[in-house]
Amino acid sequence: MNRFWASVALLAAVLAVSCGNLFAISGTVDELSAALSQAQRAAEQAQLPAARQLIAQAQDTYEQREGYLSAVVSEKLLDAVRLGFARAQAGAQTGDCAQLPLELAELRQAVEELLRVEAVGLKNIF
Amino acid sequence: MFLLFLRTLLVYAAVIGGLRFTGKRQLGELSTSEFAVTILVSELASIPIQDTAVPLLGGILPLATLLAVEVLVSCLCRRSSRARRLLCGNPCVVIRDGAFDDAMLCRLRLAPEDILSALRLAGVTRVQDVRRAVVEPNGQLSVIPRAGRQPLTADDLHQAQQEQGVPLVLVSEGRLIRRNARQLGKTDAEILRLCRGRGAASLEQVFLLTLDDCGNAFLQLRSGGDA
Repeated sequence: MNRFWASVALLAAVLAVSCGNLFAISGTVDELSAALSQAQRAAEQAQLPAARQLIAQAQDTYEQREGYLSAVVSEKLLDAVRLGFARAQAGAQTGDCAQLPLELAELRQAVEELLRVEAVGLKNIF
Repeated sequence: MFLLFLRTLLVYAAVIGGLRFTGKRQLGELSTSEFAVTILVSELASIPIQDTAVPLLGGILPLATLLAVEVLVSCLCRRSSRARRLLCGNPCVVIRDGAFDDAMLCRLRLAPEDILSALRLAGVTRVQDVRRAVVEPNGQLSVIPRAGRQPLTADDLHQAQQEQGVPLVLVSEGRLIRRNARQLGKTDAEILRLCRGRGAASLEQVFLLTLDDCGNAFLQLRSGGDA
């Protein structure tokens, strides 16, 4: 009977951890996505200083959460995000207003991919 | 490389812990679900070892889920015969009074040659000598020979035999196992006397001493001589 309740507790813990993880990744992705969307709009309007600041802000947020994300997300996905940030930073430094929105769009896609692979849906299950 | 080493140790600890949690039933692989879990556990455990890009939780979380569900399923099978029938199946009689049950063989998709092979492994060469042969839910064949073909026992010859118990290790490589000594109700002095009676001056000279609850003892000295 002890093992029965221990199994129930273990399953409940796994479910709780999974839900908590989904919630945490969702929060992180929403925050990063919002900042990157704003940076993208600023870049499209040639407001480079604002774009740089927003990109830096997004990168700080990412770096704060990177430890946790490394433990729960595949390194390949995180590599895509890191590469995206590097490209966005480089684009913001060079001041290429034509290329920067595209880099930011790609970066946003890489960030949203972190949530997409965790989302509960028929496509992911099957 | 060091990362691989650490991850392997962690996964190993998780697998050992998980299998200990599921207990002897899982190790015995008595039913279909246990067999399936054993295969899945090995596959899941290898994923974070083989690919360091995969988080460790990516292997351990499914492992924990699988083993927890397996324990719940085994508890359900214990309580419900319907669940047991559904998940584990029923034993099937394939030989009855020396003759094959061809309908059952057809249902199990077994050829008579398969059964004959299993009979030989069970030490039976003639189908006529078998009263019942049963394919168990774990796939093994149980063979019950006819009464006239069963080996004689001491009871059949009305011979008195000394009972055999389950031997417990009292001394292993010179070290006294106190837990087993307590279980058999033997004191240190009694164990030492037992050793001396069998040619060992002290416990350090003993490689192995076993004793069962019927008083049958076995002692082997460290030098290799039996006693």
